[in-house]
Amino acid sequence: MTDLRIRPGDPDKKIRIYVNGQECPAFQGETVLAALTAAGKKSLRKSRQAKEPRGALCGMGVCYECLVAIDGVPGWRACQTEVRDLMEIEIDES
Amino acid sequence: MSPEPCQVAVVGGGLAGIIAAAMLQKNGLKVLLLDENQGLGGQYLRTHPPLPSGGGHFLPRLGAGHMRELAEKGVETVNRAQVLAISPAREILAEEDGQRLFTLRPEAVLLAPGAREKFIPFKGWTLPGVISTGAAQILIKAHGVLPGREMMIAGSGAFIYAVAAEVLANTGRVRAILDHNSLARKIEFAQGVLTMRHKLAEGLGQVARLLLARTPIKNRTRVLEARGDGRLEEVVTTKLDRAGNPLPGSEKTYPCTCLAVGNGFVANLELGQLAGCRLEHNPALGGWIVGVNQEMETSVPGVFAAGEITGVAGAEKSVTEGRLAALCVLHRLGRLSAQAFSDRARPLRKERARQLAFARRFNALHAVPAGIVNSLPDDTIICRCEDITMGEIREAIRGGCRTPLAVKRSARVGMGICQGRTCASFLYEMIAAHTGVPVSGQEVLSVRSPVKALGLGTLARPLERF
Repeated sequence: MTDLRIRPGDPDKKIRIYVNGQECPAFQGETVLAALTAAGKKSLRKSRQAKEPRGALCGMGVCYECLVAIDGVPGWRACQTEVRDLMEIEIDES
Repeated sequence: MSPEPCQVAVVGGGLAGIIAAAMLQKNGLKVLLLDENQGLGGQYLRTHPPLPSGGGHFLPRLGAGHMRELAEKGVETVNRAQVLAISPAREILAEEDGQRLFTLRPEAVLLAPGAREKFIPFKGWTLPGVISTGAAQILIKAHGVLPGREMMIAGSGAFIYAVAAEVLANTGRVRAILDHNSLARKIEFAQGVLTMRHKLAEGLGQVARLLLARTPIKNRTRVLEARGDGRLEEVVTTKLDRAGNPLPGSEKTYPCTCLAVGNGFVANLELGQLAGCRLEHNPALGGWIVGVNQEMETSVPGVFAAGEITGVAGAEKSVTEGRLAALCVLHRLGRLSAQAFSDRARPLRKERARQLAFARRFNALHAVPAGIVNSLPDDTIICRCEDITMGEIREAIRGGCRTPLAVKRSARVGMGICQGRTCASFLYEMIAAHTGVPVSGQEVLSVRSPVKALGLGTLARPLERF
C-alpha cells in the first residue's frame, strides 16, 4: 500500500478510518485529505457536468474540488475536515 | 458562549488576525476571533487544533509568540467558523462547523481573511494529481505528507521555489521547476530583494537546496498540457516567446504523477465586498484589494482590514498591519490616547511602506502574459465547478459580453459552488486580453450571502446571538 508520510506517524495518535469500506491508516489531528493523499488516493469525485474525475486542488477550503461523503453525508471538503476514529469515507475512484 | 457581547470581531486567524486579537484583548477589549480552519495560524503558521503545545517544531518564529498569547489571554475563538454575511452596519452572520448559526454586531470589525492562490489554467489541469503549490505546502508542513514522491512544480514567482525547497527538505524529489518568467526578469526581481536581508537569506537557502539537488529549472517554460487516463500521468511543457506564446517544436514530455501549480495570490475579497467596502485594483498588490486609509480602516466606518486583503505582500506586512489595525481600533474605542496612538503607529506605517515596496516587485513576477491567455486551446476547462471551457467563454465574449458579469450570466462561468474563487481572476485577464479593457477598468464579480456553501441542516438551526 502507498505510504507518502515523510516520517512514521505518532502511534499514540493512530486511528482507523475506512475508505470505500477498506481500512486506511490515519492519525488524529490530520485532515481527511492528508490521510487520503498519504494512501495515494487522488481521484475523489466526478465533476458536475462532464463527470470527469477530480481531486484536491487548493487544499485550503476554497475550490470545493475535494468533496467526499463522510458517514453517508455527501459534500464534505476533505481538506477542511479532520479525521475521526472509525470515520467512513466514500470517494469515487472509478 | 460568553454572556458579555464582544466589542471587536476579528475575522481570520492568520498572522494579522491573531496579532490584532491578542493586542486588543490585552488592552481590555472583548474580542471574538472567527477562523475557518481547524487551528489558528492561517496559511503561514498552519497549526493543528487547538493551539501548539509548546510550539510545534513546524512553527517558524514569526507570530508564534502571539499564538501563545492568544491562549493565555483567553481570546474567545471559534474554529471551523464561516462568516456567511456581513452588512455595512457590521451585522455579522456566521456558522460553526455546520452545528451552530449565530449573529453578532460588534463595535468594530477587523477583516483579515487572507489570500487564495491564483491559477493560470492549462489543458488537463483538472486531472487528479494536479494540485496547487499551497496544497503541496500544507500537506508537507502541517501533515507531514508528500503529495507525491516525485513532483513537478510550475507557475511563477518566488513561492514555486519555496515549495520545491520544502519538497526536497522532506525526502521528496523534484523532477523540474517550470517558470514562465525569464531568468533576466527574475534577476531584476532579485536585485530589489538585496536590501531585504531576511528575504535574501530565505531565498538563498532555497536556491542552495535546489542547486544541491541539481533540480532542473526551466525558465520561460510552462505546462502546455497535463495528460492521463483519469489521473495525471504525463506533463507536456513548452518554451515561450517574449509575449508568452508557445514556441512550436519546443515541447517536451515528462512522465509525472504529481504536478503543483501556482501563479501568486489574490486577496479574499468577499467579506469586504459584502460589507460595502470600496475596492481598488492594484496589479502590484495582487489585483483587486480592499482599500484602506492610513488607519487600516476601509471606506465603511468601523470596518478595518489587515493582511493580504489590503494587498498581497506576505507575512511581515500582515504582522505590521495586524498591529496597526489593533492600535487604530484601540484608539477608536477609547483605550489608547491620540498621542500614544500616533507615537506607536508611526514606526509601523514606515515599516508598512517598506513592505509594500517589496510586494510590488514580488507581484510583478505574477503578471499573466497575454500570449498565455490567447494561446489556450478552446477545450481547456476554465470554470472547474461547472466544466465551462475557454471556447464557451470566448464565444460569450465574441457574442458581445464585455464585462465579467455579462460573461458570467451568458456562459455560467463562476456560478458553481466555489463562486468564482478559483477562476474569476483568470476570467478578468481573459476579458482584458480579448476586449482590450484592462482589469482595472472592469467591474469585479459581485457576491451574495451566504458567501460560503452552507448545509440546509445548518440553516434550520436556531439563530443564536453572540
